[in-house]
Amino acid sequence: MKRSTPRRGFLARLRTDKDGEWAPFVLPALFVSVLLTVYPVGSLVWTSLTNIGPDGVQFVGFANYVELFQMPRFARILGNTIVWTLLTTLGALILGCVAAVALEHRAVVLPGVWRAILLLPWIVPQVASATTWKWFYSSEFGMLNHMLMTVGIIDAPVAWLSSALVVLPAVALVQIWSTFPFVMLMVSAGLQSVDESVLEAARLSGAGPWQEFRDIVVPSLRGVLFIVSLVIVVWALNSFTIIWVITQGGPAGRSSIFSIYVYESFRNFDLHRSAAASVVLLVASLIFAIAYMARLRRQS
Amino acid sequence: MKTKIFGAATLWLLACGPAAAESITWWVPNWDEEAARELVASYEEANPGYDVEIVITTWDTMAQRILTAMSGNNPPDLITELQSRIVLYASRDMLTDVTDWFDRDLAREDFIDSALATGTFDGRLYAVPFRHDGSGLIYNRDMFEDAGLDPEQPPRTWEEFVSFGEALTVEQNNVITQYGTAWPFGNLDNAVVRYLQLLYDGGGTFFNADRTGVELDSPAAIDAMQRLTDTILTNGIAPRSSLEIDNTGLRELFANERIAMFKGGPFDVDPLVDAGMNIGTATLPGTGGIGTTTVDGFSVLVPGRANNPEAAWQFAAFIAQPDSQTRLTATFPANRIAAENERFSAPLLQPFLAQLDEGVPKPSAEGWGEMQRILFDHMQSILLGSATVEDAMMSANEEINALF
Repeated sequence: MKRSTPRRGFLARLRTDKDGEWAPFVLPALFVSVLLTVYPVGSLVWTSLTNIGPDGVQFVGFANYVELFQMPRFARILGNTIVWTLLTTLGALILGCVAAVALEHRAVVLPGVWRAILLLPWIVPQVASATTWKWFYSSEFGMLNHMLMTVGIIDAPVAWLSSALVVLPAVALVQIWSTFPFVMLMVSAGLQSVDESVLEAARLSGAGPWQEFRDIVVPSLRGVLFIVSLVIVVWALNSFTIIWVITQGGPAGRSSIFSIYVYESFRNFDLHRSAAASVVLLVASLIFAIAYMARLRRQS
Repeated sequence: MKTKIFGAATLWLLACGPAAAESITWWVPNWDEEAARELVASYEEANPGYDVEIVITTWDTMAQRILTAMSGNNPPDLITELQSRIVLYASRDMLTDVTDWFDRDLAREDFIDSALATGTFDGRLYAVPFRHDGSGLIYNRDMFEDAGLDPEQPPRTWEEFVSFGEALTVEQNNVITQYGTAWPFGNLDNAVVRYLQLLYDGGGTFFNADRTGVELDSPAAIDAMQRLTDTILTNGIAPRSSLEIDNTGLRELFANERIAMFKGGPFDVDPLVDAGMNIGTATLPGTGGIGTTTVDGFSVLVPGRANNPEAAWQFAAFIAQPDSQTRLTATFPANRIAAENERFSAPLLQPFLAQLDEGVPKPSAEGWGEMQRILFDHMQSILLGSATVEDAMMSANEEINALF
């Protein structure tokens, strides 16, 4: 008796096809990918390796990168970028987790409504929110100093945006405010997947709330937190609107990060150095993106 | 003068008459769109067969878009662009030299000198200016009266400006509720312009005579920075939050009656009057009299690689006419005859018009953006208290000279 082989699925056939049937399905996507991703990135890298001279565009190797790294303010921009990324990532993670866990508490009525309200900072266009925060922070005329002085927390106005030490954390707070809802949303989804029977078993075994959270909830969220962290880090590295609207990287470069420098160079018609800085930023983001992809692949 | 321009206009109309079948593309910023479409309609009606296609640009993207287009092989035929960027394009050989066409069809004496200067590079002309303006002093007449100052007698000199500012700064319960003035030191372009005005007013120059370096270590350059930063650090007539605002924020502070005077432009007047404010205007207070303003505005230029440069010039020459300039400019025209139009006769605008004769174009050079950045950072360092004026200017001078 002849045995019939099971019919293979579409994707399985596509993955093992040797007769070229895949071409009509894959080639259009490949073409679009090359057009929208590979070509612009290639063009960017090429621009970073060239310069405009008397004879037109000339290949200069890594000269633009050397100039970039030798800039007097390179160290400050690099330092600011690291501090900015750490502050905004940790801040958004902590605030997002706290909000997500708090919304799970039984004392919170209408958690769905609160969740929607807390999502607003993420939804509001960053230009609008940054402009509002800018006036909120104003030294002499801002609402923040007015409130803090009214309740007696400070005696004199704080120069939130015109103090060398305070400006970067102050602007980072706006980025945290803008991105923590994303963390909250993802962690909330992660919390829904925590196995209630495991928690109940832990409770029967005498585990307290803190032990439940530390030994069961946090390990269950590890995968979500890893991916959320990577996304937040990439957002932080590429962040532009909030800083530009509030301080333009000032005062005296104290809140300038790489993405701000990229824009400034481009605005100053220094396209080649701007491209070099963009490639540096791209490589930094790629490290996190590759880690993200690797994690996703392991999960699937 | 008028005879020559009208004669030239007639010649030009004859030259490009109905037989010409031409088509050009004109890039226009969105705030000029309505007036530009009206002008095009008038021109196309008078010149059957001539077609102008308008493409709209926006302030945020126009510089990059224009630079990219002119670097490519298919730029538009005519572009409206900021005057202070023209020399940069000309120095890169990206523009059509219109000197001969201009002298053939138009009269230089009909244009404000500083407006033509913004489009001149190495003695050649590369653009037709149609909008031109500078700064003036805008003040709150009610606040002047409250401070016991005569609103009919605004400050005429820098010393008066400072003493008026002190009288207009109000402190209540150890908190300053009103300042004499403020500065847009949170914005690179706005801040550097304010410094340049004082630099020129004091007789200083940004570049040295042969443009091989800068002179920011000169006594005039140091004095200008000292005077400017003293208004915040020493005299206290301007708030420290000047470091946080740009020109728009500055106007907001004035509109909210937090400051009594500011250096603004003619475009600031209408919104403030419309908001019901009782304002006065004056020429800039300078050293011993009227101060110096930096001037800027908009011109039309023909890219070097334009497909149809001569047809573009025909339309540019039309824009140069007094009537066209009156209709197109959002502030003042660059054409002196157009400036006599009643549209510009409002008393509050007259000081701005008078100020143009004391106008100096903003510097423009390869790497100007980076030069501004260096100066701006050092200016902010002074205000943060991390550098003295002299040290900051010496450092700025050294860093900028390293760019040459």
